[in-house]
Amino acid sequence: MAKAVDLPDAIAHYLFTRATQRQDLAYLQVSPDGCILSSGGTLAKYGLETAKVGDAIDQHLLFLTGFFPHPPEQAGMPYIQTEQGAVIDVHFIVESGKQWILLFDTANELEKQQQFQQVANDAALLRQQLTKQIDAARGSP
Amino acid sequence: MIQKKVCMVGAFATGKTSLVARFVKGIYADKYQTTVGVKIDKKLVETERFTMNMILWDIHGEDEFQNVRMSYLRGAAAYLLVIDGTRRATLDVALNLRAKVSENIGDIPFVGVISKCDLQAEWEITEQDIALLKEKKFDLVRTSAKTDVGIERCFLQLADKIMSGAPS
Repeated sequence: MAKAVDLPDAIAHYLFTRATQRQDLAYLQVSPDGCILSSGGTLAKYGLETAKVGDAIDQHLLFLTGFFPHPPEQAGMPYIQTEQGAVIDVHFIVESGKQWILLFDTANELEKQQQFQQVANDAALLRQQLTKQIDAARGSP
Repeated sequence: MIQKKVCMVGAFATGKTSLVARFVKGIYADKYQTTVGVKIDKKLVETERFTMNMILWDIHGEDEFQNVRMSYLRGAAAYLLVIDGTRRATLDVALNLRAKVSENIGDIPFVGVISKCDLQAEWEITEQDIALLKEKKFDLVRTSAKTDVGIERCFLQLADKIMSGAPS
């Protein structure tokens, strides 16, 4: 893992506040078999207001089905769009033997990314179609 | 009840989202809308032998700007490997993705889907390509989300593979 940058406290605090306020951070500590040990942050944002200690996390966040009992030690999964319409970046981290799951709201970023990706993919499809037509006109396979 | 994670994997614009929309909601939209990240859905699959709650991960397609993150496939019980019958390049992408999944996740069951069979006259995937895939022990299903051909079948086949503990 890359070494953390040694930041002055004021900058670290600013970045922390910016990230947590802009993206509604919620966090959960879970056991190796995926049961909630503790939680905090903006849980209601992710439909976790009724989640209790001892509950299996995949009862509340269906998309975490299959991750336990072998969760990734460190992994980031951007833009998970849930059935309820939430858009979540999910991060797994392990610190001092504790497994944490972090949830960030990225609905606003998704919209921009979607627009960019749509243009790029439409252009790629058009390019492929034109190549096909040119090949056909030239009589190549 | 059994609950399993199932992923859609393939190149961009192969029809993964349409496959899920047809299977889960019974709908089809003609306009292509690219997927960013993952769309989560669920579907109860009931057979004579079992009932399974499939948690579907419709993962964005592989393209020149974004590779499929293998972290999305963690914990998957199986996956559909989707190839667009009208674009031969999507077969090569599918084969590369299959190798990546095997390397990173393991040899979990999968079913190969050749989509857009309503456009069969425009197919670039040939019978020879299909024969080669079958030689490689691919289970293949031809589908059309537009005309609702093969959709139920590919998901049921995948569920059967999961339940029988079949290797990929």
